[in-house]
Amino acid sequence: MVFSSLIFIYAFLPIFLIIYFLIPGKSPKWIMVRNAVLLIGSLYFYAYGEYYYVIIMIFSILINYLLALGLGEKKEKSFSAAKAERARKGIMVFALFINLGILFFFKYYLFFAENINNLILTVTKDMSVPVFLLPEVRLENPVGISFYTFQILSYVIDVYRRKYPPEKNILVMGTYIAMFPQLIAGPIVEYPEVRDSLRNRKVEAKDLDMGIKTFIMGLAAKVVLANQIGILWSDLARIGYESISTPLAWMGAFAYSFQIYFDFFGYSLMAIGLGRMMGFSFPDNFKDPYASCSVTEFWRRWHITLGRWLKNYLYIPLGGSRCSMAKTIRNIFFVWLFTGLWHGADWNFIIWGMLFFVLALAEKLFWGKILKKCKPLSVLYMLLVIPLSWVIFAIQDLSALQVYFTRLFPFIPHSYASNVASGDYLRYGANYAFLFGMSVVCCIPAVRHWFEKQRETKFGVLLYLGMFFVSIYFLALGLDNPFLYYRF
Amino acid sequence: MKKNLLLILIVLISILLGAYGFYLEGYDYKPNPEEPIGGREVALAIVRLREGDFPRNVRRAEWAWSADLGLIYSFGNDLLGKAGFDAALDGTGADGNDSGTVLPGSDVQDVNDAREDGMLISGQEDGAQSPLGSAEDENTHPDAGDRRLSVEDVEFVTVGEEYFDDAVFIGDSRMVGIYDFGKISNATFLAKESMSVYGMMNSRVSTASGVPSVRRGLESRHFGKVYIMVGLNEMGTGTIEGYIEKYRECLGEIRQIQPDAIIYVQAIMHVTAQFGRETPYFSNRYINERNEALKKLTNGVDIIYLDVNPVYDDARGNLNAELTGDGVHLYANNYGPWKEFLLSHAVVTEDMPSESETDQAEDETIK
Repeated sequence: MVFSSLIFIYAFLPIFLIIYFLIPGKSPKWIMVRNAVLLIGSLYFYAYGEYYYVIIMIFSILINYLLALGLGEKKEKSFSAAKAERARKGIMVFALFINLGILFFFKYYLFFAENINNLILTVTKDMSVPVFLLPEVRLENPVGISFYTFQILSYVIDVYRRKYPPEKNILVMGTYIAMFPQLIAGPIVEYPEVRDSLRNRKVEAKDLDMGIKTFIMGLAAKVVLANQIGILWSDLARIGYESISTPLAWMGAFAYSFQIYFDFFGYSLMAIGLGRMMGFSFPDNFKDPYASCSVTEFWRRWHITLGRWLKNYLYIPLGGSRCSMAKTIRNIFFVWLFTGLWHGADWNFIIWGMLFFVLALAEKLFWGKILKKCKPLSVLYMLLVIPLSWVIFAIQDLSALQVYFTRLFPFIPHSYASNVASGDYLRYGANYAFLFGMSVVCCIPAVRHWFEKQRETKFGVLLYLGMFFVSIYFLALGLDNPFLYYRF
Repeated sequence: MKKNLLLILIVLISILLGAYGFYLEGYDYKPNPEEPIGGREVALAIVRLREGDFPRNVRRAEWAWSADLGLIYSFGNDLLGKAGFDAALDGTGADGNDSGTVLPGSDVQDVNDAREDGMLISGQEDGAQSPLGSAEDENTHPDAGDRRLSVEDVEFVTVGEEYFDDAVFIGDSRMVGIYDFGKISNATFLAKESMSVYGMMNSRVSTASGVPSVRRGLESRHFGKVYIMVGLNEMGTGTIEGYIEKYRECLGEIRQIQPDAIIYVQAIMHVTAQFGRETPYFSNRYINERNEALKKLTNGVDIIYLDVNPVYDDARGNLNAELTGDGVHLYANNYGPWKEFLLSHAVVTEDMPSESETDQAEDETIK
């Protein structure tokens, strides 16, 4: 089930909220009942699309619950300190193995097998050796597995580091992982951010109102902006990249950039709004990323919770920047490698991650200061980097990606048949001018602030009312595109 | 209370809209059956209000359900419904109302049952006389038994590109594809994405600026050849008989506007095997059924059946997956063979006006 759908807005959510708020929420005992409702509702929400993957998630929750308990401080000191520490390390390694193993199996195994097999075949090409190849099994990604796996790992690693004791109440821990607002597509919530709310939270009228308005802002961003401008991008794939003109290729790159931003930002807003409706405070995931002046700044404003996770649980454990220059570069390299890979099991994602590695490093070592000093230069820089990097992200097929780049930069030599409809960019430009204009405007931080301020005003009630029903109108027409980050 | 004014307003307005949606259902409007009850009435109400169906001018709906388009309404010859919504989104608005014909309510099964059968019954008007004439008219009515030429017996010739000088192409997104990429620059195109045979004549066009509808485009000058391809957007809708009847009506009207044109009824192009698997309403099995039925509309003399599918099919009779990105539309690169096919499957009659004669004809050209 997707948030931006009639079934969620007019069936699941009203029914869920009615049940949730029928339960009194004054005492911690009743809050536990609300947690149970939230957990069960979330499992239903998750299972609505593909029921068999709920089992994996439930298994994941259970086993990590037990492992975390194992990592907690024991009352009886029957083991020596050294033994206990070894045991804890063992449990931590096992937890990593299980969680990353499940993720690897569902998401990365095929990519891994295909490439290993290619390697084996190339190496043994002219040898008369019996070749053993890995079976190339394609499995569907359980929805949200990248998100909840990272969320669970953050919890277990924190317990291992003794940041806080493990959660003894399985209901609480399960609700933390599975609660539907952030289950499918983040934000990646760290346990301390909700631990207190899970036991004791209050939902006042204002929370409900603010939550609804935040939800509506996200809904409109996704349905009115992202889905509509995304049609341009999917049209290009339909035409075939060989046959789009250069201006149209650039238009497509910008269209996709807007699509993925409003899509993901919209979804995060919806998650935050829903959380607020229930009494939770989720962290922001986006802070006007397209207003950034550098790649480094961009990644502090885009998908913030992922960057924070990689910093806390990968970069810093590896040593961060508190080691030799060579090791620091190595650490940065791994962060970008995993940033890319987290988004997908394909070479284009790795290339995408590596592009940012090179640029981030170059900014750190060479031109970061220049960018800070010269605003126009940084604007030009980002106007190139952002759309081009998204094109790499968007096209899995490397040969198609190559073709696209020759359309963007026609001076790159190429030799394929192409059949460009003359004036194609004029037609698309005319049809999408308004949408592009709106998209640019909605990327301006001041505009976003204005929308947020309207949540407090009387005019805002009308504004958000209008945004809501315009979104429903688009949903009613069935102009739905699946959420881009859905298969993560 | 005041703090949650927005929520209260949303709930109230949703209830009002939902009520209106149920009211419309009483007039045979159909909501999207895949959406939840309540939500789908709200959606129905919003969409119909946008189309101008206010309580004072609600009429009984003739409708058809397309798995791709959603609901298609047809009041007499009007185009309403989703294709009209698309037009409305384009900023062009749905076309005029034919207030003369109010059609009897349709005789429909429950929508969900019908969808399970793979077919829905479209509203059908009764008593409409087909301008193609009665069954006794053997030259134009195809069901004339053995007096009809078999479609396979058509003698095709190969012609040059000038053959398209007085040709008009009507149809859905695949015809738009030919317009964009087929490199046929001398013909007229009256095509639009999501065009369907329901309301085809009134449909807006996206391939000819300044032309308000297919009908007006056809009326604007003399054409010697009319190429039509519609049918994909109607998959999963109506019965085949309903589709054919509507098609027959359109052909009749085209014949009235262009009495001596050769009409080419093009078979619906196949989809890839994968697309047919993922969206069973569009499988080639159903497409082939409809194409077989289309043959009944043709007579091999001046209404010709053309099937371009062998050009683009793979060995199993599905659209070759390498030629398309989305399983439905060809890559821009691949329209060449279609043009070749049309040029090598042309019908020439002796009394066809030569190019110089059509140049001197007094008709206004389409601007």
